[in-house]
Amino acid sequence: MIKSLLADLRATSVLWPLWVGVFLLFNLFSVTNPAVHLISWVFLALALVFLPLIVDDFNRIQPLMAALPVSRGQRVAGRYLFSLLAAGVGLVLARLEAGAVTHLFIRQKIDLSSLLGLDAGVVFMAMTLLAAAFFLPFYYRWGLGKGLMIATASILIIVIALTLMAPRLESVIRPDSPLVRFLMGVMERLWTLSGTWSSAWRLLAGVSGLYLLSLGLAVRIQRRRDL
Amino acid sequence: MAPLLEITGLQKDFGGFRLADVTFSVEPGTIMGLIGPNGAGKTTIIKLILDLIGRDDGEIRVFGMDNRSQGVRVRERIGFVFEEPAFYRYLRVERMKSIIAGHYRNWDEGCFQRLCREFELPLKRMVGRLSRGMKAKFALALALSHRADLLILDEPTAGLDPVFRREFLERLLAVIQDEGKSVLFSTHITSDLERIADSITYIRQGKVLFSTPKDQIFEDWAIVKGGEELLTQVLRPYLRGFRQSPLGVKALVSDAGTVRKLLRGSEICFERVTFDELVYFLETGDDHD
Repeated sequence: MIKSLLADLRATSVLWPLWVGVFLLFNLFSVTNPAVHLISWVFLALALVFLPLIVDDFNRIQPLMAALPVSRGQRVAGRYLFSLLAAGVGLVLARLEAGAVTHLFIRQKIDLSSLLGLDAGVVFMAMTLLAAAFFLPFYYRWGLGKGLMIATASILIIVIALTLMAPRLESVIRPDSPLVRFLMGVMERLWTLSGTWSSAWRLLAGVSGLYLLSLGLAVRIQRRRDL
Repeated sequence: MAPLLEITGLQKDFGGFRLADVTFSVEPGTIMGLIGPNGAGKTTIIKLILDLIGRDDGEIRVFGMDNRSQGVRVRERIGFVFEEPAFYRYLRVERMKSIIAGHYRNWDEGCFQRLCREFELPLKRMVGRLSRGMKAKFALALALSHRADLLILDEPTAGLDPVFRREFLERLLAVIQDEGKSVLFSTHITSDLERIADSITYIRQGKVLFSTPKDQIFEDWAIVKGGEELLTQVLRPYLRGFRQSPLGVKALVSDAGTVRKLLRGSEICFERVTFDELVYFLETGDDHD
């Protein structure tokens, strides 16, 4: 797993300065709205998470890497570890950037200090890791291009289905039912974490569970895949 | 000594193409050539050995171990060169090497540096800027630098100039001087195999036509040249392909010893078969399954 992580770091580290430049430049377009800025961070962190997948696909290097003495499970686990590391680097960079922007543009009344709190950090990590956990099994099943298309189409189908079903669900599930109250509670907790470590840990533990589930699925898919 | 590579009843079905009941073995201290026309299944067999694709049935044992369940231990001792070596094109040779080297416990940096000097490989150049031949040399240097016991080479000499090709073949001969090591060498340049191979496995349409020592091939098969008397019913069973021209008939015969006896006293000319002719006549002949 560590060998795979190091291989990904060696393969992508020359591209990291370029990514940092894009990260900082791109984020400047959304400094007036903290919520949009947070989403922008997540997208840019995901770009870093996907970097090894992009370079592997572009260079068609999967057969070479699979012929090296490391198991497929370890290789996939190394990539999930890389995603975790990339999300962490993204978080550190994002907080540095938010602090710097708030300090530098104080006269323009740009204030991103709300993004420096625990809530924003946890939401950032949760969203980044959830997106990675959702996409990576698609990548291992269908490759980068096709996997991305199918994953996006799946999200769209789920959203459209939920939208179409909403009126019917309303009559079936009452707003005061325990299920709806629980789901609303989760949503509320996701956006306003109330800044406590206990709620943050709960959310991160949930996301970690899904992340591990995704890892198990990806390993299973990759073991059966012909390269 | 037990074979380094032992393939038994290997099967893989892709729908349109099927590898059926492939069986052969590579003995220690030998070079085996894998030949056959395009699409015969040579690369598929190599991918199966390296566990890049899963088999439907059969067994592959490398160094006495199953290549799937003990894949990591097996691949630690295999050096490989693919037909089209793929690397991270934007990295320098040096950095690309460090990615590969990091996976091997027996990596010999001194050996790699020496090979780079011999092959005149520029360590600071980006891999994408290397010619096809240089990439093949780089892949070979990587394959030879971790003290592999089995080298698996898929068309390694494609794109190499004749001078380096000869050096390359001599290097392979040097590898097997260490008796515990072997080479499995798939190529279309069959003259290379005539020079260095100890045994040949011929693959056609996903099946092994024969797997035999090289000298046995020269005993069993021959080229005969003569007139139309070659096409008589008596010789038909031995003809595996022929070419007719105004100058006469040139044919590939199997069971060359028997044919010699049958044609004793006639004007027929016998020649030693080359692997090129073997492939040509077998693939254009009329005995396809």
